[in-house]
Amino acid sequence: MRDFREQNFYELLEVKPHVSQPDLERSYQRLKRFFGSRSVATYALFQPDELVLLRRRIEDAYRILSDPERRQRYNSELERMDGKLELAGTAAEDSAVDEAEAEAQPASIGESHYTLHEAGNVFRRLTDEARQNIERKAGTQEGRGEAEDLAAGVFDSLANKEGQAGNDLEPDAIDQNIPVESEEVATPEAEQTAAAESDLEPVDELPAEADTEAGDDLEPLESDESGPDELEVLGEEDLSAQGDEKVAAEEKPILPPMPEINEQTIYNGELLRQAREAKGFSLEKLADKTKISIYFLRNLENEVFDDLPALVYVRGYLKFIAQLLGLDKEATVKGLTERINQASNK
Amino acid sequence: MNQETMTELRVPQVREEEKRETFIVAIGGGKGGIGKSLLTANLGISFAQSRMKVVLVDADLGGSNLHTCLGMDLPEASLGDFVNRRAEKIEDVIVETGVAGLGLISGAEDYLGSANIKYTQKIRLLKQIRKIDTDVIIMDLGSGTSFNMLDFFLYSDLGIVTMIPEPTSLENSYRFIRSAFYRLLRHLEKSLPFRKVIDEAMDPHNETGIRTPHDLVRVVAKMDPERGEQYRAYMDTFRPLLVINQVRSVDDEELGVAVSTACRKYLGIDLDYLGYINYDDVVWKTARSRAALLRQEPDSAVAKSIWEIAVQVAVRLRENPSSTLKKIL
Repeated sequence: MRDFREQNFYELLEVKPHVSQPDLERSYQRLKRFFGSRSVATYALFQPDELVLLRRRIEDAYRILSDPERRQRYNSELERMDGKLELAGTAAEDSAVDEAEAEAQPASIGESHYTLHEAGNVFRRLTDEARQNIERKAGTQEGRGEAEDLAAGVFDSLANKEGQAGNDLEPDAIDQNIPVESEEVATPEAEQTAAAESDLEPVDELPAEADTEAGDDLEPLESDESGPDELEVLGEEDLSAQGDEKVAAEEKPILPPMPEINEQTIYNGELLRQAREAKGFSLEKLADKTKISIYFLRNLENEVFDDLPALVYVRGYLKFIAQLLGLDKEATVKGLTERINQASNK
Repeated sequence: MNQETMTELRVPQVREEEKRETFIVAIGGGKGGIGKSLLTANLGISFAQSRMKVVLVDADLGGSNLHTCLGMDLPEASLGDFVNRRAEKIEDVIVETGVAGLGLISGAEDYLGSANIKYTQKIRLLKQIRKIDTDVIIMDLGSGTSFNMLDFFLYSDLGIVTMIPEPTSLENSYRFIRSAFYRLLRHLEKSLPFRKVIDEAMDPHNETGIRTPHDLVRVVAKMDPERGEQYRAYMDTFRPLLVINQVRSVDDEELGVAVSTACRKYLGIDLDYLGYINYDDVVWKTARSRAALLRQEPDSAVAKSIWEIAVQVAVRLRENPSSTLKKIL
């Protein structure tokens, strides 16, 4: 059993990952009573500040899990951190409510069966579809730009390791993904235009190559073991590249400068904030890109360390954030971990 | 109804393992006057009435009153006779209670002799108790968190903590549960430096900042990660049971679940909530007339709630629980 500070939202609310909405509600209301100000059960156990923290975490957990969309995102997040969310194997216990819910969202991957291994298969299927799409579109001159967008879309899904990324493959839904190649080919002006309008100059590289790369990158997903470390392998180049592109493409030039990094640089929450702002990312945007809850991101930046998941997860988060923000991964992890440890030793 | 359930529960258990040792159920919890003896006596009667052989042991060294809850006078033979070797075999100090199948080992009258029982005497006593030829032994523990009481509790296969819905009682029960767990670790840990850490943790005002088993695990894991995991595993296997006594309202009924949840969240210990006993005048009425409640007022709400608890205990006995401490002593 874990300390409530280290429990995930399901454990916090004392429910199984495939819990139905009514059961979730019941459990939440009960916990609210048990840990409310009028409860005697907490007497002589919790310090006042611990109770405040616990109540806040329970509220957070409920807010996320009671919203199907957020819950799904949270599941993906959990899964990325844990390797796999223990959702599989409990299908037999699924209530009718769960089934009804699953049916209501045919586009999503059934929550209760969603393991990383399956996610790998889904990606494989997605890339197969993407490959066909790309090949088909690449057959025509006009189709090439779009084809590359599609290929980039696959990269993006991979980087995010999101089972639900299928939708992103729809050309309209692609979030301005600029293929890495465009950097070498397009002139700065062309790049701007291209980025803004997703209307790339035709390039000479064969789309099939992008396709192959996507296929190669897929391999690690086949493994059931996956953690934050693998995440970085997957998205290494295109993520940071994409980050840069984004700034170039979307943002007006009035961005705060990237904080100066030298030997004296202290890697702390403030540096994360500065780097994020220099990239032109809002917290929401970073949360969306990393699928890390905004709550934790804010806590990291504000150095409210007593309300973070277990350190091992935080390290994973930090690596991912550093990568996106173009910060040195090792230094970021080391720096912030030290600050967390210092704070907890006080 | 419950009696039938109990009788059914009993049959396969006895037949399955003829040579198995006797189950020991211990009833403890920090404070005095929270219903330990009441529960022990009446659980014993309910088991005996379900045709199980039961021996009750008044292990309240120094404050014995289990006989009163059974409507008996103070028996002549007592645990003290065995501890001080006036009686050769433990069976010699078992007295009849007037309920078929229910025997009693009365608490020691000579307070000093038993309260200061030596470690080796204690081990011998516990081992002898387990050898008594019966189906179930139910021990009524004294108040407080002395090592003796904690060891008796840990040596049992099922340990029940009782409490009443009052802050002082809650506080004592939490302290008892926490201390029992640390004491268990202390028995399991052979390495001196780590024993020191556990000793530190047992002091509620310790300077290391360890206030919960979680904290202890963290500190130990820093010194030795593997050990930290091991400790965490011990946490998961330590499962005391909870009974709330003197329940007066619906809120109180829910208190058992609330306490169990709080214990899980804060101490990381899974406190298994068995049930509650109503607050009812028949309790003190029967106590006054020095009669056993389950016999005098079998149809009272209190009697019914005790039967419910008895069924819950029988269900858990069927799962063949086994004391961790038993294996290492």
